[in-house]
Amino acid sequence: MRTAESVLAAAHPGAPRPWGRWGLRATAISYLALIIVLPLSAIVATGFRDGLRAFWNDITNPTAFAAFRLTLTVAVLTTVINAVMGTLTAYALVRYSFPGRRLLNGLIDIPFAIPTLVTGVMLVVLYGPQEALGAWLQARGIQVIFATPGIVLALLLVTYPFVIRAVQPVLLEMQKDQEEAAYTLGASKWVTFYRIILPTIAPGIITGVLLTFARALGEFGSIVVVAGNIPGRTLTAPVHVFGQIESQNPRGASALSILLLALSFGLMLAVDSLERLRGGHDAAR
Amino acid sequence: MSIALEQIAKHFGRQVIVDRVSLEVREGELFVLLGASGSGKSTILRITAGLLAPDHGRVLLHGRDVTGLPPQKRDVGFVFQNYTVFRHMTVAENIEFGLKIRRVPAAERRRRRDQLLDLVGLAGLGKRFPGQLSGGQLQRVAIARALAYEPKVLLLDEPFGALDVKIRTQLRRSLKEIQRKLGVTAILVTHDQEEAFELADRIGVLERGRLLEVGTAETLYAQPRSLSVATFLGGGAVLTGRAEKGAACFGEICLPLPAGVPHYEGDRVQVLIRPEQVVLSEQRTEGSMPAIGRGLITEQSFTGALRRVRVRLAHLAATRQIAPPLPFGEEGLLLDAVLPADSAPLSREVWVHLRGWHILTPPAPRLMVLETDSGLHAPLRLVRLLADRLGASATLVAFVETKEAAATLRRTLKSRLRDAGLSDVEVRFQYHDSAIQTIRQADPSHEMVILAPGPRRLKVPDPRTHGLDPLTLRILGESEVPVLLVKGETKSLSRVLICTAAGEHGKTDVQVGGRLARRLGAAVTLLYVARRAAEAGPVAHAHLERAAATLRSIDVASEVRVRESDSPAAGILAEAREGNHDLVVLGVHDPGSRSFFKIHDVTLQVIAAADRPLLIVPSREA
Repeated sequence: MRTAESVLAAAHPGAPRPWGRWGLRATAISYLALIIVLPLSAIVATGFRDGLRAFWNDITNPTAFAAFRLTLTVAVLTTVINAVMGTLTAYALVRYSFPGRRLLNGLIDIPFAIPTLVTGVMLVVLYGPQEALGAWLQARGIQVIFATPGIVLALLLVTYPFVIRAVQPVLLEMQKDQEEAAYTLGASKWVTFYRIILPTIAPGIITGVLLTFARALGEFGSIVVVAGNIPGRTLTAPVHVFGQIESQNPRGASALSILLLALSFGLMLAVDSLERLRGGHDAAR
Repeated sequence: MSIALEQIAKHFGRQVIVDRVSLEVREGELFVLLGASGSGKSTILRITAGLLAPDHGRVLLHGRDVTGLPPQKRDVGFVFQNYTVFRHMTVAENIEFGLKIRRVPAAERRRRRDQLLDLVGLAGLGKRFPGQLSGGQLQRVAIARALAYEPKVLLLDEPFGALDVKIRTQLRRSLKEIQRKLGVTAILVTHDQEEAFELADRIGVLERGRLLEVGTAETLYAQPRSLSVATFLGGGAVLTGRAEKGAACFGEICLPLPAGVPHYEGDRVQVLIRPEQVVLSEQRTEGSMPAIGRGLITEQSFTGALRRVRVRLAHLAATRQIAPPLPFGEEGLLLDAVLPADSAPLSREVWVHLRGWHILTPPAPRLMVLETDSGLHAPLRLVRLLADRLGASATLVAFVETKEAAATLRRTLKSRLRDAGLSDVEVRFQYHDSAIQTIRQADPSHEMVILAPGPRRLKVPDPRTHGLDPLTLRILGESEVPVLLVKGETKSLSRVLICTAAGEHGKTDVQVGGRLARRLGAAVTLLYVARRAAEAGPVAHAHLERAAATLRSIDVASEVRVRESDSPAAGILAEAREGNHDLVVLGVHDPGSRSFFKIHDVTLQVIAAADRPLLIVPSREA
């Protein structure tokens, strides 16, 4: 006696067997759970292990809060600077041909290739108080290493390629005649930039900004070398989290981690829904 | 004039894209620039809009010189090929863009926008985003946007290029209507002949950066002057025959030349036959339509309203077909004809008659004057004389080493040209290393190359070169057209000496020299120099008689002279001196040995020792 299922399978010899049909999906889903959902739940569980009050205390304790505030400040600063400079760099690379353009284009990805720890070391041996440039700056009252400027410099370097690489393809796709059309319509170069070019490359900039910001929030390797990690002054959130783990305080580490995570995730969601809203009228594109 | 371009030139790198184009577009006119891709048409349009700066020349819009103004200040509307509608703005915002920049009040903006949406047939679509429109609609938006602020000039760069055929036709009609309604002056660029014919008030045909002809579609189609325009616009055949007794003759068949087409007896004549001028019939018809022979139908194709037929005719003596290009190995003539599709089918063999034809104007003679040295040697007096007598235009090409040298030389040459009464001569500069290439490229379009052999002497003269400078020698070796070497002082050109020698195959030198003399109104003497007395007898006279007959065939009378001399070169020069000849014509006869040092030895000796102008005629392969 054949089951209904085997009849079906016989009728459609090409149809995959039930275990094959579900097997692939099951594998994909369990892999996702194993790799992402499980650790994520673990950190949330640990952070809230002792209730909301404990969580609140963990993130409002002066050291943790100062670390979080510092991280947020430098991340925003880095993102703004690199958004502007990255867009300009991308524009120059796409629109103008100048000697050394190809070389510059190749150099842009170097920060991706350098281990972030090495980035930190590079900055220390350049700006460190014992080095020539660092000493010269120190004499003029500017301290780079073991201070906030060092952190920002490290972040700028590490996140340098993100905006450029996100804006470049959009600019390449946008033909020059869009700009020329604006010129013939009477728009000055500046008006053309903010009325025509900027709106067109905005999605690229937003992507670049998001990547930059997320990276700046989580950066550890270079900062741990350059920042000096003085609690309350140059200790950033990721370094603080590391310190909590070192001192056997997984709950504290988790609490701050959850905050960082929620921030990145929330921002991503916000941008995504914004895109969806804008994308509506461009759907037919 | 609404739009005037004066002597616009533009090059990218060493490539000339636009070559001194002058153009005038009248108020309210729709002018079409027609040319194949790479002909420089878009470049001209972009220069007019200010998106590109010309290397040379001026752009005038309504009498105002705008050459130095950026596009924002020119008040032109521009429509690009790939609908450059701004994607992040609605249709209405796109159209209002130019008005907003000009700070037009919102109410007025809305009024203009609605008017334009109506005009381009997009009423009610103002709130749409470009992503929701078709290609044709996008281009309508682009047109409306370009017209919104009422520019005085509308420029369209292949506006229908990216659209499919059906929409293209619709949009063409709308464009013409809109342009008429608003009375805006427009230039449209296209490579599509049909589009040009349908839209244009006048058409300018471009080829490799040069504006060949300007005229209405009807004139350019029916009476083109140049071969390029004849073959670029529409189909048909172009045949080359000879002018004989007021007719263009192709073997036995002679077509009367219309009045006002000046042709010298024996000159080549090009006739254009459009497909609709070819009449095919089973029987030979007597009457006004000349028959050009019986042919075989080789191809037929049905195109809807018409049937295209290609007929192959037997080769006609002394006739060459230029268009359509003959396939390799084809000896006969190919003529295209069109018949109404519903006409009775023809048998394979038909009689071919002509209902009409058009004679192409022979190109105005052009002289290329080479300045091989410091600007002091160009033989301007002789150039002036030739240009006047032949009605020719001249181009002076100067060879320089650097850009700075060109600037200095330009000043020197300009003032010398002015003094010689040749201010309309066009001056060009070339780098020394490209001299030979220039000669080769320019050759076919020029009647002759004129130069004064450079004064530079080698320290140790090479006996093979007879003291001539290498550049002159190379030019003599490479030129495909006659080279006029200017030596001595020339005050008139009234006596021409043509030198011939026995045993030479070609008679090109006799013909070229004879034709030139006829146009100069000069007397011709044919010379034969014999080395031995025995040779001076019947052989020489028989040879000279053949040469004189050649001259008679092109209506030139000549005197013949036989001279005995041990050295042909010395004989030629002595004859020239004694006969007081103003120009000596010599052939370079052995095509195999024409390169560099191997130019005919006698010719070289004459060149080296001559004290008067020489015309060196290269032999053409018969």
